[in-house]
Amino acid sequence: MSASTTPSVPAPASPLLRVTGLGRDFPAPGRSGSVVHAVADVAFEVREGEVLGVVGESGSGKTTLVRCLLGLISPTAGRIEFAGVNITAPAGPERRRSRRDLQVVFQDPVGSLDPRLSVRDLVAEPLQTHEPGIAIDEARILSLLEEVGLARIHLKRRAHELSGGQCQRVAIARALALRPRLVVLDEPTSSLDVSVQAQILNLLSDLRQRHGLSYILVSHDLSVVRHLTDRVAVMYLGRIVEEATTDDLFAASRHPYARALLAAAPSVERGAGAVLARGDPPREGAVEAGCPFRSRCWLREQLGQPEICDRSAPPLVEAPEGHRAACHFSDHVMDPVQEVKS
Amino acid sequence: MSSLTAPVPGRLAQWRAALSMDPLALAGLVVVVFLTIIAILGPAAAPYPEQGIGTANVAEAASAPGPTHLLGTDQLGRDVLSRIIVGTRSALGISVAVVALAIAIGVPLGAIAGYRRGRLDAVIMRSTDLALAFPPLLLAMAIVAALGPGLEHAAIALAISWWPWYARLARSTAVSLRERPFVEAARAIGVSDRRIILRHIIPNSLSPIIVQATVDVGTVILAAGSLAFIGLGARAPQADWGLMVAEGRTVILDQWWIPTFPGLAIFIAVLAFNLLGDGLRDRLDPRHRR
Amino acid sequence: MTEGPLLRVRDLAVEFGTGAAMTRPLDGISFEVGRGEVVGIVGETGCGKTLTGLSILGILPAGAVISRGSIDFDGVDLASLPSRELERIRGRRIAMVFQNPATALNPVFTIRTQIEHVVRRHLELSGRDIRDHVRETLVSVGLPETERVLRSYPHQLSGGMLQRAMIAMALSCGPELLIADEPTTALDVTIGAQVLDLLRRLQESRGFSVVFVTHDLGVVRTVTDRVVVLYAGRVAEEAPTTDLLRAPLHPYSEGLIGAVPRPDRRGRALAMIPGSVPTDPARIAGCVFVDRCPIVIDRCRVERPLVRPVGAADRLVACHLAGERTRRVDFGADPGPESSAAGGGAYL
Repeated sequence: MSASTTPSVPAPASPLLRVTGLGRDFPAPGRSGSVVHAVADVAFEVREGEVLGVVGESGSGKTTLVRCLLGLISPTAGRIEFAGVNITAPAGPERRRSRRDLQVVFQDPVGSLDPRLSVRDLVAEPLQTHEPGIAIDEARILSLLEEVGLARIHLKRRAHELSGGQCQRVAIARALALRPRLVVLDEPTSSLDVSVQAQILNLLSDLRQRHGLSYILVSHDLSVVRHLTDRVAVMYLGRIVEEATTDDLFAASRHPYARALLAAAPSVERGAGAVLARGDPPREGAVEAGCPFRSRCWLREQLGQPEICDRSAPPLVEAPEGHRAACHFSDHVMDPVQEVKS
Repeated sequence: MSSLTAPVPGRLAQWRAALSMDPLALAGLVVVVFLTIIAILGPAAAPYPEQGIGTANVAEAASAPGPTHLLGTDQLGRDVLSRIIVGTRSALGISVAVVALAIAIGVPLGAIAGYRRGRLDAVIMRSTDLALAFPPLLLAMAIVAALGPGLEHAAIALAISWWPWYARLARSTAVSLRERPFVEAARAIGVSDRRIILRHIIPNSLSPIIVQATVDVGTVILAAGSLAFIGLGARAPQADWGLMVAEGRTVILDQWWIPTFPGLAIFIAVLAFNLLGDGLRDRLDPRHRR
Repeated sequence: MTEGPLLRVRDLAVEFGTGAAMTRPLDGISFEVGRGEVVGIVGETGCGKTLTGLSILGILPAGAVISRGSIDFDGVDLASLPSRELERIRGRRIAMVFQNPATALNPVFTIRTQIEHVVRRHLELSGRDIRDHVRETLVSVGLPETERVLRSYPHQLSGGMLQRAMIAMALSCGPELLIADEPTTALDVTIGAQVLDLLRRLQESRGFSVVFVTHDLGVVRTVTDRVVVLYAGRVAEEAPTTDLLRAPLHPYSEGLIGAVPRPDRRGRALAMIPGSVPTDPARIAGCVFVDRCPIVIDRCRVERPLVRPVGAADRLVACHLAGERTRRVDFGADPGPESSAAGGGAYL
């Protein structure tokens, strides 16, 4: 343990997490033989100490992506490498070893804690799992609790005796117990009140600095993503449609969907912007060929329905400074914030 | 089995609070506690312990209820009340044993089936279908034929036809628990399947199982009585409610008290366990709890 | 029609239970909604915002009673109105849109049946007129494929479509007041924006008043003219939306606004209100925020602060110290480099 308590020195050559060509199909409901691509051809990297945001709405595939990353389901295509080791198979020995370093905090703080276990037992569980036979160090459990802002009096409580924010702190303590290098935060604050969300966001920032943690923050809340992340990947219908540094994305998005999303989010500073994306996303599996966003694309309308959008799915093309966007006309995307303000 | 059936600490207070609100369930609880005490005391609680155990007292054969024999005596002159009191232990004992055995077999199988799903699930659940399709009386007869008559053999027969219900119950709760975030969280941490089933799935399935078990203790009393009635359970001179009804059924018109009071004992016990079980269901059912 | 505001809630209190088990989730709420005005009710879980909306409609949950106060709707006190007369107003003059349209609509009837039911009950129309009226209402809320939507059962429609159908149903009898309880919270961001946009346009064109219940300050900013901030069943502050967001006067509003992640606060510590909402505010003698407030004085513990105007007539605050302090409350937020230059006054 002592070796991993200090943040490891970043190895510039290989990223901490590398996902390539990741796909996950599910059988299409009601149609035998055909499949829904819940996640398709997803590729990204997370470097040591970096926070990557994954943004998307329902049906974007972000939940399926998380479940693949955590080894809860197996991908149908592609590869997941953690610190250079292939951990794609959920049951493989590499995956088992990697679980120490790759932890998770889920969305539902109360529900993700077993209602029958005390806080002490909950925090002890990862230790018992990964260090079987070693007596539980009670001082270590207490110090973990203190690290997330809880105290000795909480040790004997159960989930229903704690507030939502306190439950989320317990979940974070569980995730931290094994001194991981990467923590997947799956909508960690979306069921919390604003003031409690602020406490958890502050805590996550502190812990990141103290332990040199990397996060993958999955969220639909753009203000939270903007607050905590260094880089953001935007997903739509199972694909990454844009990826950029957080500053770049919010200042100069190059994908019409990402633009629509940024414009739509009601913000305290400026209220909600214009409605760029009309209608609903197509039902699962409805996208056969062409750009998955074309049915709602405002830019395609502006450009007079170019035929290429129907014909071919745009590849995720890399622009300068690692800004990637999957749009045939990404050069035509204008600054949404200014557009919206007018 | 005690680790599975024992109420979890902290629940006790909850139960008490729950029961205090429902007078019928409370009545059930009082009767169940009363029966349990009598079962523990056994012959010591009977006015005529010797007769209760089976010693004949021909001089007073078939006397009607009166001051010396509150519920009368049977054809062999034994005090019916004492027989009923002594019979309580076997009635409750066999029921609890049957239910415990059924839980011991059914719950782990059901939990594994529901949590693992897939082929294992199919195999386990088809075997419950098979076990349920087999007529319980036929099964009891087969077992008694093979092992000889007796209460223990009847108990085995009952447990074999009872466990599938617990397997199904445990499976359905396991299927829903499996999707609960805390189970997912345990998997993400890397907790083994075995440990998830033992530590998360089974303990969280207990509430509905406890409710079902309470009701079933009553139902098994009834079933064991039926087996005894047709000669597949307890044998004379053992004090057994079902056997007493069976023995008295030919004289019901003349000495009505001989079969009626043991029958009433079965009725009250079954009713009490049902009331208690229903009361517990209302409160312990996860859908009603916060 | 009488003059003055459309809705005037005065000293409203709602209680559950009696004796020692009594709780009072709403305690002395007062606010007004002008004709054509959109008023936001904000606060966190358990502050009483949903209950406020439900009391106006007279559909309190089982066991809850209005124990004090009045709800004056266009000259009629809804709090003391017999339920039969209330039913005539509910759905016709006051309508509601719920957070989750999937559960608020009956799954076994088509959208057409459900909207027709409302129209038939409240409007004196018959046969063809009802059908035409329903279709027109749906068209007015911008639903494409009107006929298909009308024929659909709730589960056949997406969340956004359903919420629009709910809005159509709510507006089918031309209400003067719409109560919207978190109507976009369950929806995706781009769909929620469509629904907000729709509500805003309909409100502007038809001029009905709205009580908009929400926890989201961004939504508040988008749709409301004025905001009432609730805390533990009491009004903490009431102000025009932009004024409140720019310069909150109550410490709770200040903490709430400071807790929102914003671009200029990126990577910095956000405001944290310590502790949690009191479970039993009815037993607190003084200010209900006292245990979480960083600027408590002795008076706060013994005397309940009344809602009073501070500075301007339209800025109401329930804080003893409002108007007397010039500095912001310290909720541990990292002020950042530029805010000191701004003098610590403005929030936006």
